[in-house]
Amino acid sequence: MTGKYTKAKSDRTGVTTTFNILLFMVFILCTLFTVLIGAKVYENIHTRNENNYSDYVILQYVANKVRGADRAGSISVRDMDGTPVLNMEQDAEGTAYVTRIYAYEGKLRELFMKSDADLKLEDGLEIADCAGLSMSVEGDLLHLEIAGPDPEKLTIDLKCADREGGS
Amino acid sequence: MKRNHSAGLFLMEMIIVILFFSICAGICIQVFAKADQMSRKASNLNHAVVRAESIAEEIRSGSGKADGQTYDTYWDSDWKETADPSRAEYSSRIILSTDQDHMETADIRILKGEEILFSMTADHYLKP
Repeated sequence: MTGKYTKAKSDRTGVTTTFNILLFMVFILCTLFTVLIGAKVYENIHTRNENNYSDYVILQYVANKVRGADRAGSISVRDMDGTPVLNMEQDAEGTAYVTRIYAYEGKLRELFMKSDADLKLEDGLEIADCAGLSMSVEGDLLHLEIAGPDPEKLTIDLKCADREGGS
Repeated sequence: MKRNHSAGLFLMEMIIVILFFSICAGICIQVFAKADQMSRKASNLNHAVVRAESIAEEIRSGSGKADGQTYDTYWDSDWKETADPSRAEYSSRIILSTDQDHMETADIRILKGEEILFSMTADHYLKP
């Protein structure tokens, strides 16, 4: 009789211990999932903010350059070794200078030189990380688009001065 | 007897810990969701500002749009332009007006559904 009682009691203790261990496992899993969810959310936010910030800064940088150099017929888009290049010509004390902005080897680069200087794409000064910058001119509107893996591509249209001289 | 008593105590302890953890996890997940929402809002605002700026530049370049009219443009969830309003998640509403001093005013609103993400007014002098 005493042996049966002891066995039943021991079984019950075993079940309680197993249940406790299972409960502890569930607790551990929940903690792990919460931490993982938090890490994923943080990663998403960080990536989104970084893409947003860098794309926006690049577009505004180029837009301000275009606005600063906007003279009649001075802004054009050229293709140099398969890379679209924004060409901004200016004249200072009788000497012709040119500013070139383009994306090359994952960087936004800028070249400021005399018009006849023989500088190549790789000589440009690195401005920021940029997967690619596509540009086109339609009438007097310059269209800029940041290329990259992000499906939400940031684009901007800029009005350039008319070739006749008006704005 | 002693072993059973300690197991029960551990169970109670676990229940209290899990209860406390659930409350903390609930608050944390709420904060994560809010942070994610804020980040999306910031991203949308960025896009909306650039789109509004582009529209203002287009108007400056002479869009050929008639005075006193409302113009709508639609974008999908990736901010790609779409002609189908049913697929659109974002839209712009432009109202043009010109006063007697030849100042053309464009009221530009970028919307998500009916919520205004960004609005601006652009003025442009029209050569008489």
